[in-house]
Amino acid sequence: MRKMIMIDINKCGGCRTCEMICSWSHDKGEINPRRGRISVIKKEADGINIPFMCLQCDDPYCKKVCPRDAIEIDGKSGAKIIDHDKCIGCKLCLIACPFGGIAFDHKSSKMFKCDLCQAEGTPQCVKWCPKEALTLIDLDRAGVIKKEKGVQKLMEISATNTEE
Amino acid sequence: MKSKTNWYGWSGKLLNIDLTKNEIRKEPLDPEIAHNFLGGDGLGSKLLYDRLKPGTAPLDPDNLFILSTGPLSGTLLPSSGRLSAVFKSPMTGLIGLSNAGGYFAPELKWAGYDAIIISGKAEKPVWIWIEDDNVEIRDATEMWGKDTWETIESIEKILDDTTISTLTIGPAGENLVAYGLALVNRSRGLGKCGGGTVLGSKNLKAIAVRGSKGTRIHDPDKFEELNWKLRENLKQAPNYSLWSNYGTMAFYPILDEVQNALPVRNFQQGMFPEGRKALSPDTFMGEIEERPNESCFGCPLQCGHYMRVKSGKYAGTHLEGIEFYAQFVFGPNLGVPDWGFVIKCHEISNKLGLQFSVGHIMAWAAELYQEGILTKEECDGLELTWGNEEAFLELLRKIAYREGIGDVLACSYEEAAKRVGKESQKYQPVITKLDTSECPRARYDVALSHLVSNRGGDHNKALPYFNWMSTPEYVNEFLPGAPEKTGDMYSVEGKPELIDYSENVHAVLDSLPTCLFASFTMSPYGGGTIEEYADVLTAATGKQYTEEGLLEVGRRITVLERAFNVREGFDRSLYQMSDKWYETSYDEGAQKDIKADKSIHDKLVDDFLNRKGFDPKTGYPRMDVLKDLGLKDVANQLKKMNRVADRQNNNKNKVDTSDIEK
Repeated sequence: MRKMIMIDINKCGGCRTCEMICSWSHDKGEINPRRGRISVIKKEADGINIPFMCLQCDDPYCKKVCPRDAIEIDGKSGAKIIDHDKCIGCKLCLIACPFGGIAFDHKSSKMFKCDLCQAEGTPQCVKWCPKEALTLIDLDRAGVIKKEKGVQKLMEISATNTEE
Repeated sequence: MKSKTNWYGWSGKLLNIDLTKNEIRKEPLDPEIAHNFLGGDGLGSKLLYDRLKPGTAPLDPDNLFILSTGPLSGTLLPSSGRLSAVFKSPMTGLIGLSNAGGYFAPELKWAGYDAIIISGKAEKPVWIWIEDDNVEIRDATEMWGKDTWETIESIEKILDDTTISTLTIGPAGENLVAYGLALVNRSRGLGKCGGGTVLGSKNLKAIAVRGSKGTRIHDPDKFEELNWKLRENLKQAPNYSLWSNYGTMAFYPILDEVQNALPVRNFQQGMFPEGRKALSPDTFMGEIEERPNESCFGCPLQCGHYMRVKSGKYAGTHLEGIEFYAQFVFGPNLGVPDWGFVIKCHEISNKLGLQFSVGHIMAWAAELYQEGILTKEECDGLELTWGNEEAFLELLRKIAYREGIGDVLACSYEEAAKRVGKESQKYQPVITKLDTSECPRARYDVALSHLVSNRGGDHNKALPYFNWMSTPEYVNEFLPGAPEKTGDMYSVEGKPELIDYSENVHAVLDSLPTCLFASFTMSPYGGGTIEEYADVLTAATGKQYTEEGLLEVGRRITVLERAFNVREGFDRSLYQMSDKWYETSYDEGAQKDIKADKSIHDKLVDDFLNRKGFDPKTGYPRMDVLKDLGLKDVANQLKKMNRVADRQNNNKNKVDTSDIEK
């Protein structure tokens, strides 16, 4: 079952716990949010916080440009995972990705990206987010899940309008 | 020779910046100091005590401005983003202990520094840029005069980077208003004690930081497990939703409707009927654009709000907030039942760099105006009548720029009262040099904690907030053997013991660091226990901490801070409150006609000092107590100054409650 991390910007408070736990779970013993594969983009003056990471493109540019064919696709979850034994840190993928989903890790001198925590179980950011702004959902159901939320919102608005 | 200490938790490095000599010097952190004082307030207080020349005036270039992080800064510990600033306070003359949430401390930690020690004064305005090992003192002539947000924008443009964290001062700090704020990013503040003023006196406009190094943890599995549990417990606490949704605004209804002791028109009244709905948390939510909550670093509670006022006079005003302090001092205290106005004052204060004491000071001025002690002419034509929004907004600006009456009100409470004269100090809402937002007339927890607080009277260093949460019986869990009514805020019983304990706990929490609101205030339902924090600290640093040991660290820190004040010339006479509390009372409500009682307060302070290891007559620390805490240098220094007590006063001065009528 292919998965995605759904981002709900109506819940993110910008605490960056996801960045911490991401860096931690990929290199235990050190906390360094700059080495997290997820980053919270903050626009402080406007009160905007958006957690962002690789969106696991279906036809990924990073895989296309890689000279070592180091990016593999996990058959079950659809996660795009870097084989770090093959990666030479050339950064072509960083240049190619339109979203900044893949970046250079200064400690290992290799590229790094969200791999849905090696496609095993619940990703750590999803587990640790205090406000459930990140959820792991089945890609096949993603559309319907969002439609449900949209309808819920409409019902709330119309209920308020009815009261008035 | 580089230090060979293998650091976990702490970075192991201090950054010294001398603005007079334009010199930057890094030094290794002394492991003894780290282990015995932790970080945050503890580390900062220790560094200040050791390195500040006794008797230095707060605005003298020799005053130090110390920013400190802790071993748990920027880690998985819930709400580990807090920053401490320690300096000699221009507002009080006491030790200045300032604390801010946000993201600066973690960033400083990741740049590789446990603390920055800033000394001297730059010839021209400067700002400091810290990026890992690279530290630069840069020219800030162009920025001088700008408000804080404009300054941040300038810096972000210069560095082409919006991921930095910043500390900035506004015109108020530049103009040496006694209570100048140092804004942390765009919405948090090193407020109390006038840290922004010290920076202004040093010609230091801003500090910006970005770090890429990590924090090493000694025992990763244990550390992860413990913090997961702390976070889950917090989320399951009964008050989690209330605290998370409303932040400290949740206190407003309690003070207004239950205690009838809200600061209304400078504490002349205790209830504000016009504001009951208009200033309620629910009205607040309705008047700002709907947004998810905002958060400090790594916090599960996330009690902040992005406030963009939707309609009305102040439509469009936008910034992040909000705490009860701003709500109280700009709302009921000025007689204005309007969230738009409160948010506007909040915005102006943040941008001009004024700490929220300004609200209390304006209310004091308004009461003087009401009494005819200040005339319209003396107020440059401003009519400081209750509810006069325009006048107060103009007054805020005048204070920041020290214009006319603003120059008087920009001073410390003592200085301002001297200038106004006419016994105006009797109207000040002051306890031990700072203003209070909670009325001490009927509450003994407030009275004692504010009287003895090391940074001056306020609620953040010794007032045990679990009183809000728990039934009084739970206090006895923390203090077995304490008198039955120790947890009853209206009873004299057990208060010295409670405040002594509470002060130690606050010192620990401010030195880990973690947020009081996400820890102690939740206690005992969901906030971490001292034992749990000791375990987290052990897992992080590899150094063994127990509950007892950690409380001992807290005790050491509070004793050192109090000893600092003694060294700087203060004694028993420091602990006093304005006559306002003894001579006036409310006309109605649950606390009707209750005035504070000085004789009881004196006994409480005596008993507290005794417990803390200070002689109740002089206020000086006891030699044996200092030595017992490993503060031998402090003991010897104070002995030379004749400011120690050699032997224990056998007269325990325990509070005899038999003669107190309730």
